[in-house]
Amino acid sequence: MRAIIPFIILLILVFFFWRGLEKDPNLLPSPLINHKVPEFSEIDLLKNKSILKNEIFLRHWTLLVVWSSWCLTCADEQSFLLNLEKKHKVTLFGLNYRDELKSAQQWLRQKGNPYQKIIFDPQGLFAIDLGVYGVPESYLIDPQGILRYKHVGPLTENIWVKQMQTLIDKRSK
Amino acid sequence: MKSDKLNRNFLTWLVPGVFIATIFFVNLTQAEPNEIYSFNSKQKRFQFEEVIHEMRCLVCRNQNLADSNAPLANDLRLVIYQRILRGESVDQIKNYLISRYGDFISFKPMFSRITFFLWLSPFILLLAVLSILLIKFKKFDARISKN
Repeated sequence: MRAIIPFIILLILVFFFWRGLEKDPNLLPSPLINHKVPEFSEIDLLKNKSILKNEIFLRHWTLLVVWSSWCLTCADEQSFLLNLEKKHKVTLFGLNYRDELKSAQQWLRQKGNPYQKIIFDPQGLFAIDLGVYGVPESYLIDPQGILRYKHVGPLTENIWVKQMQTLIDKRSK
Repeated sequence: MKSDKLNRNFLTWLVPGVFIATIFFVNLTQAEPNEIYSFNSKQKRFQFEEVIHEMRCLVCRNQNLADSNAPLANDLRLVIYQRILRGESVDQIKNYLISRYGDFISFKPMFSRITFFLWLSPFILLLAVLSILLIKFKKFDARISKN
């Protein structure tokens, strides 16, 4: 009996340490997953003066990518994003975060524009409502306007296929 | 000879004196980034201070919003400021931030299904230790009375 108690304590500790090893401390789960996109009303960076609201997320799967012209890693996912819409049934929208209109437009001219619509958020206020804490980030939104997946960091083919594509396939059945 | 003694006295007290002064004044040397915000009442200022000291900056993880100058921390302070002016309570603002960024943003996580063990563990451990001690004492008493 005496020997069993320290052994049980050891097992409990091993369990927690083991779990700690496998977790990535930089990943913060978003509490908004499986919730509606927060209410917003912002200007479209592509068509000035037209106002974007929550309806833009209805009736199709959307990938919403948070980007800025000052964000260096945002260029890393550009070639992947430019090819995404051709291959897959997903609508690509952008959220331009804490940027200037001119430099954002110039960035799109230089690197190409993969987005159909871009929410212009120079003060980063809608981004706070979405729980953005680092660009680039991407959010997968279902045809009912509900957030289903969040990825922090540049998006790759691997993450798209393994996480997002499988989620869309599972939900579309 | 008197001045010599005075001199030595002064020197022996100089080092601890400076040391103690440093401890007391170190707070004054820290820059407060939130000077631009003005409030019409002291109570609102205190509420603002409470929220920014308890909420984490998600860019520089181990700093709170009061100490961080990251762009996101600036934005979050502005959002908190505007909500305080609108008359929202400290709890309302904290709940809003937690609903957007998760429990991690708070340095004082709320009591919930996930955190209950974290909050209760000191009391559970105290109870465990006390009961072990109680059992040991009873055994000890029994042995004493046997002899």
